[in-house]
Amino acid sequence: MDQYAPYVIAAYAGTVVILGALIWQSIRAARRARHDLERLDRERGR
Amino acid sequence: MSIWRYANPAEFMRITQSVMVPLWVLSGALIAFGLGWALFFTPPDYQQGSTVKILFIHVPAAMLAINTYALMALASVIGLVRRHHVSFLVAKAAAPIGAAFTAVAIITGAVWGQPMWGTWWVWDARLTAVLIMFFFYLGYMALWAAIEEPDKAADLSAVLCLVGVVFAFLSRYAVRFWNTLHQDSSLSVEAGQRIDDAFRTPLYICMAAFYVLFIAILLLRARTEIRQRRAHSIRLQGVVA
Repeated sequence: MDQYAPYVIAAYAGTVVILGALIWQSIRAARRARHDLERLDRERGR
Repeated sequence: MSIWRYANPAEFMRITQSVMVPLWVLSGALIAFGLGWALFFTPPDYQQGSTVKILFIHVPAAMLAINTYALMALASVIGLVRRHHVSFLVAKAAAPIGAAFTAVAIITGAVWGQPMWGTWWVWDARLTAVLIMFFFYLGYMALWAAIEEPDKAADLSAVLCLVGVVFAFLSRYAVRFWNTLHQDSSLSVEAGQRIDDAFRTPLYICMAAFYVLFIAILLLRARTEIRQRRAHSIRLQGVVA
């Protein structure tokens, strides 16, 4: 790459951080919602 | 067979369950292949140098930023007219994804603009419309979070989403209405080929990668919203009983 390499790397790194954070937060929320619902269903079934 | 059966939460959960893993695998493979090709195997542009590599992220992110808002608006209209909860929840699930892609588009655009335009930001019609659309994404999410009653939150957020449609439209077409610094679309059906094949093929792969990733995250978040909604209903039943 040429003299613009820092700009290219910054753009790719910023994208990885933003999309990585979105995916991580989505997976965490999905796990929490699934466990929460399973717990409620178990309690209701008692 | 009616498409409205997919608006049934149980049916939605059953159908989406089987596609989740293939979607994640496909999006991972396409991102690795597309961005790997863009970053390591595309030549520098004769004018832009290696900053052209930023456009393999910027263009798909900007397309998704606008199209996600259009999807939210469509889902909001369906929700308001047909009172399908899944429509509202799909719009709600799409908002953080659209906001993230809008942020990526703005940041990568600024990082490209500094060496090419000589500035990180200008109050150009398209850039300003995209920034306002980003604020509508944030406002939409804040409104959902601020109202405790889900049906009321869904209705008011849908109305707010529809108000913001004008900025999604301007984000797409501002370059045609006004003579702005931001260039017209790189890909155009009407204007024919505007970019060289060396860039066009990896760009298409990156676009496909971002779209598949978008669908994977959207379905994951929509499933989460449906589960949260069901948990909320169970808790309410417990309080009433």
